[in-house]
Amino acid sequence: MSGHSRRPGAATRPGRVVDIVCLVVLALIVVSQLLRPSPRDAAIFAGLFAITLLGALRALPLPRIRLPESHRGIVIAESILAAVLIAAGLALVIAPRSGPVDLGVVAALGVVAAPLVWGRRDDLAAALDVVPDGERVPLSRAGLAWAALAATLGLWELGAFLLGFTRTPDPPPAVSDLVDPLMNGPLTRAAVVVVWLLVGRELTRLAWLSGSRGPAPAGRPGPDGADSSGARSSGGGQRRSDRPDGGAGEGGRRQDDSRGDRG
Amino acid sequence: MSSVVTVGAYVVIVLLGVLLASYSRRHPEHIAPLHRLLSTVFASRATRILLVGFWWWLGWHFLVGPTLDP
Repeated sequence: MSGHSRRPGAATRPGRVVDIVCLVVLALIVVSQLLRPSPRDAAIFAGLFAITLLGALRALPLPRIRLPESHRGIVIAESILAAVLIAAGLALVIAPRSGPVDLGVVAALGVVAAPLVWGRRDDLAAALDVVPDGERVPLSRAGLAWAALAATLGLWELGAFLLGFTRTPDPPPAVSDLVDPLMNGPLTRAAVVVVWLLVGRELTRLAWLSGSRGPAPAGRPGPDGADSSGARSSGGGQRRSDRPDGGAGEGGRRQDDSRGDRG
Repeated sequence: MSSVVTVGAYVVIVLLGVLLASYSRRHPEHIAPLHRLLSTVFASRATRILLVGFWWWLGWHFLVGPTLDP
């Protein structure tokens, strides 16, 4: 607990800034996919852009989806998720590439992930409020470092793509050119599928927990040794953010129920 | 030559990512671990949609769609 008080009018600012950054990134990806040209991929990111925009504007008339929040509920849900991922992995490795099985499995995973990602909380300001003072600088550094790395990769890929227009005899390879051959060998394909599923499982789990509960206080590692943001963590100080209202009490709970979609 | 430079840059970026992840796990007092960063920024729905959506698209891109022209 940092003890920071939230000034009126400042509560939504970090969320709004992040909303805008995400929308700009998605718009840039749409443009780059149109330039490739890959209208299908552009349509996918345009869809993500639209959903993000509607979510930011609170204009998407979707019901709030209540997901398991008790420890037992989460364990059961994660067990089911693990079984689904194993079945999906086997199907993706065994079935012919780009066939109907791949299409069905990847689409189904997207459908499963969608409600977990949507969540019922959209309150970055509250999440930043519970970050202890001593962790704010390391967190900022991490955000800047990873954002810089991602931006560098994106710009380099874009540069290679643009160079391909002018150097047709020997165009510099894009990431797709390098990864695609791996998908033709059974072992390398299996490795790529496993990595993709494991990354997706972790991203979806974090999105689910953060989207339904808010972040964990720092320095309270869960049983898996990581700073978990969910009920698997233990410790008295954990209780605060384990509750959907972030520990703000009944008044906070009512506030969350009515304003849980703040930016 | 340009291909070597391009691939080399990709390798350097990946190595920097591995280095950053490793360092942040060992020295969370300097740089927060990626797990901690994500658990915080995922309080934003837009961030959740962006990152998980991009992950899903990677699977779509390489597993479902023909990535390269024949």
